[in-house]
Amino acid sequence: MERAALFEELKLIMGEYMDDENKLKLAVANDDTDFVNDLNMDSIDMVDIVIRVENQYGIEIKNETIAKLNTVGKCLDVIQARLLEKESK
Amino acid sequence: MNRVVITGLGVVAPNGVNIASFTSALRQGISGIQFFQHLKDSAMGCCVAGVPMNFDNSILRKYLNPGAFKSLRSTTIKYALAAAIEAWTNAGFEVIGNDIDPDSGCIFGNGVCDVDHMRYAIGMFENGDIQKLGVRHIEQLMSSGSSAYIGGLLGLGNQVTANSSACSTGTEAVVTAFEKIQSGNAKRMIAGSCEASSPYIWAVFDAMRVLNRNHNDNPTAASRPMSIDSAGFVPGSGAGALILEELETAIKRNAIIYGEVVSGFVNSGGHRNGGSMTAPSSAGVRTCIETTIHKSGIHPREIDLICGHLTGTSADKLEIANWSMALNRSGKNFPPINTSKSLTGHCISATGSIECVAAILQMDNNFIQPNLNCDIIQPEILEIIDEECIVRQPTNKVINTVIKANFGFGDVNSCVIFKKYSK
Repeated sequence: MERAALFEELKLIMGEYMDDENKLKLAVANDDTDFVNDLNMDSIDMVDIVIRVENQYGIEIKNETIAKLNTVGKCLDVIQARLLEKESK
Repeated sequence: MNRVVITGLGVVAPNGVNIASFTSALRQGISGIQFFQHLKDSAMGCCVAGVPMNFDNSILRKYLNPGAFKSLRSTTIKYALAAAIEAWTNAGFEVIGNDIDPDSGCIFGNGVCDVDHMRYAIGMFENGDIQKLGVRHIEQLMSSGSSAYIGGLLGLGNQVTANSSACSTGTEAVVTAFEKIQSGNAKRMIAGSCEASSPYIWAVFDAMRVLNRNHNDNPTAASRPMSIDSAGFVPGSGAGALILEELETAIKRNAIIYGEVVSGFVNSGGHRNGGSMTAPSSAGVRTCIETTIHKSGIHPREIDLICGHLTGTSADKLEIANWSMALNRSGKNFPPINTSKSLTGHCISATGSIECVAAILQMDNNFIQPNLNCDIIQPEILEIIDEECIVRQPTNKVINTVIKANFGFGDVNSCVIFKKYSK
């Protein structure tokens, strides 16, 4: 899946966990945007989002990786890598 | 203000179901973590846990009336009773008696009541069998079930209650009991906490992705606090119990004194400044530690051992940073630090009391329990403290002062300082 398209789908999921003010920040987010520091997200909500992503794309992200997904870019990198692994199986 | 000492200890831990076996396991670094097929069959990601091995509840038959013993299903209460009985007898008291002691009380906490027992009762209800349930169930399902059983068994006439603050519960119970005696409102308190071996509770942590899924084939390697490849905690269960007593009373009856509680403090980060339901606020953690030290009158350089919370999650490095800032000690100047979780797993609401018992045993016996599974330490931790501070081999060392803290969901903290007793 194209990175831009993936990000748009991720935004839809993340938006459910945000108020209107932070949704505006999400709309202009880039790879360096930090979920906690820039978008005021609760780290526990990030785990919930990862579980939603896993279920949506049929992939698995390891527990120790989840804690490292602090920015949009890292999150998209991991999802894309897992999708590629899935396709190559 | 009364001075408060510890005169009795009891424990039911995954790696030792009494004080003698627990001390031996701590000293040698023996793990109590095992693989459980029923966790795998339930599609758990983490299939290892710390469950008290060889726990035999038949000792309770000696003390409970036959009806109560027959109906006792709650593992929470069984663990709590066994630990409390050991602590009480360890302190030199008889269990069976007709007298009521108005100066002795109990604060024995838990996170939730025994969920397995709750499920049993709900099953009876849903099957239309509620009239067949019998009478001895609400006493096991109420949050104060453990303290109520202990209070009734021992004839405690002072306050008998249960506290609940997630993983901070056990240490909070010790601090609360300390304050009760210090202020003159009781002469003796049983302080402790308990946690059932319940897959229903462990499963919700597994769903949160905070349990280690990488060592199901090597259970004793699964709990890895401070390790570079720690990947979550290992759930555990059990109970710890301590007898806290007014010094004057303890001296009067020639009690064995394991140590003195010199200060304690409990607070919350208020879910602000980085704190949340599941993450501790660093400012709150540091305030808790700093206030405990300030109230003790002890200089941070006098601390010989830190018994940390340290669960084996990504929060370990933050905890080390907080200890370092609160004590204003770093590098080689940082005191030795350990956690018994590498041997027991994280016994959730029982963890504070089990670890307070561990802290006092190390101080009383002058040894430092090794941190297992920590061959390569997280680099972020080594930027703060020297690797020699993380003891990884059984070590004999004179311990005069130990500081212990636990942090729980809800952004709650508790900290206590134990010191060797001297006149």
